[in-house]
Amino acid sequence: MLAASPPPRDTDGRTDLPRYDDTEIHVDGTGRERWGSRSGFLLAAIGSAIGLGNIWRFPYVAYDNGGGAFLVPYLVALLTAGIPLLVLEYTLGHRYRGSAPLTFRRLHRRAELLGWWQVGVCLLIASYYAVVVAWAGAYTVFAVDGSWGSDPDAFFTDSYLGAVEPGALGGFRPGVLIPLLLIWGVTLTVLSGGVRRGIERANRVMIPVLVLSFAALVVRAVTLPGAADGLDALFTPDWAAMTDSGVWVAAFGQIFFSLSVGFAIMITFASYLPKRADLSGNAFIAGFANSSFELLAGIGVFAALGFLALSSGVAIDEVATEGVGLAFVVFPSMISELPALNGLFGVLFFGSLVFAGLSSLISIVEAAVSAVRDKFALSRRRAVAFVGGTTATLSLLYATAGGVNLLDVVDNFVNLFGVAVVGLVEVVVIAWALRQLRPLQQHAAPISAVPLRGWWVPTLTVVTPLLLGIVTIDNLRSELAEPYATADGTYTVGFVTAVGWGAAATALAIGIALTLPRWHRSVDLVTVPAHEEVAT
Amino acid sequence: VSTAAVVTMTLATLVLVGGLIGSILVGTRRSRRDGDDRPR
Repeated sequence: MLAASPPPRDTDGRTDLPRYDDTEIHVDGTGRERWGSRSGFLLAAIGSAIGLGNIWRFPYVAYDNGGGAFLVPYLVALLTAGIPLLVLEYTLGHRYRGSAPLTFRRLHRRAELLGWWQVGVCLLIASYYAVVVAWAGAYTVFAVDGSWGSDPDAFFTDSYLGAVEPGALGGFRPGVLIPLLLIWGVTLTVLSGGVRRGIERANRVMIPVLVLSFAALVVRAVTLPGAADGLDALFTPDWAAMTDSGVWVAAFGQIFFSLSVGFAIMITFASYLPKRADLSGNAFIAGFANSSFELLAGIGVFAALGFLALSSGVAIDEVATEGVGLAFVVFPSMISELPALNGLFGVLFFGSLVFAGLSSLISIVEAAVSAVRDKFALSRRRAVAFVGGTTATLSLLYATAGGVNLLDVVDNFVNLFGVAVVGLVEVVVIAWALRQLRPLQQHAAPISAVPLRGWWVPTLTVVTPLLLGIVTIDNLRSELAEPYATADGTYTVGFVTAVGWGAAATALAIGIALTLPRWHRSVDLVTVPAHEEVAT
Repeated sequence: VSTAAVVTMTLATLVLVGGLIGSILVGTRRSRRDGDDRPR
């Protein structure tokens, strides 16, 4: 009814109408890309959430924090932090129809930095995440004939990475560099294709293949001798752990890092949703899908570890580990011990890592591409070339012999003091400083299938910031008490300070640097373009 | 596998997969009503 008459503006070009009633009446003249269907959006959101951490982090975190009892705080964290944050970010992106910086700029003039800070975190994460996916790609080939031989640890560290002392770079490692360039080629090609023909189409292939491949692995793993011991180790509950605050901190940390919240991706993806989009329903589906995959990964990984422990004649706790060590040392050992079809299951495992990592990498880079497009009014191809070219160039650092040391420290600090801190700031700013939860609920509730009234605002106002604050303070306290990996002599304090704290500070510096330039004159920073029924 | 581990694993699967299927069913019913999932 109001669409025909443009809103009155003052001399600064600002509307003087209420900002929460203007969705239908303000069009800034720029069309925004659109998902082809709801399932396309969901597959992309789930693909972003399901990453390497689901496979190599969750199983060990659960095992190390009370086993089966960990699932209670984990579920509480999913319902009181993970899903509410997903709803928040979907609603922000859908309401303000922009990448994270544009969304926060439209929310409040001074909030733009928050969006660019998230983009800075994305760029740093993408630069090393691509390298880990490249390792997995190389290992998919190695798995065919078990190239790692009888000592996967020495193969990975010495033969493949050629690791040197922390602080030295060494030369490029062709075995890392070549797959890295291929990974960037695929990522940038997908992103150049756009939201529907690139990201959505890629995830329609990758996510089903990932789930089926991993399910086949799990079926094989649970039928191996010793699998029962592994499942016992993972699922036997240690109820005493529930009284340990560290277990709750671990559960909230796992949910937070696993769901791709707090770093611009979900806001960006939601900005491509149509007018009628089930925001809360989508958040529940993505949250439960991500956690279901984590549970599947836990079953597969610990069944396999049980088999490895039995065949090696050691206890489970001697083979149980996480991260790079689990994927590139322990799993190759386990694959070598399989009675048959070693190559096939090796390819399935590392192929799963590639698909899980690639779908997440695409989403991380898209968050930055979308932000640059919005601010400088660039074409998608130019933005992909600029953002992708810059990030790919930065990632070359990690393709050197010293890259693994940089990657290890940067990953730890960017996650703990980048993603977690910026996520906490986001919730505090929206819930407390700007007090925008009620208006956002009013936007989401009429189009959402799962009711938000009564639980969503109180949860995000009190529970989520409180627990994220505790997680962040705990991380900071641990780091100050014992700097990362210096106790065992792996790194020096100087190296950790320069690389780790330097990376966390760089993410913020990138955010500040990208906040300073003026927005392209075609971008309306005050009003929100109407949702169009016709796809762009 | 111990009974405690089986019970925990089963409950976790029921809650998470049940939550996923329930969310999909609620969303699908809503989508059909509103025509959200038609190709655009």
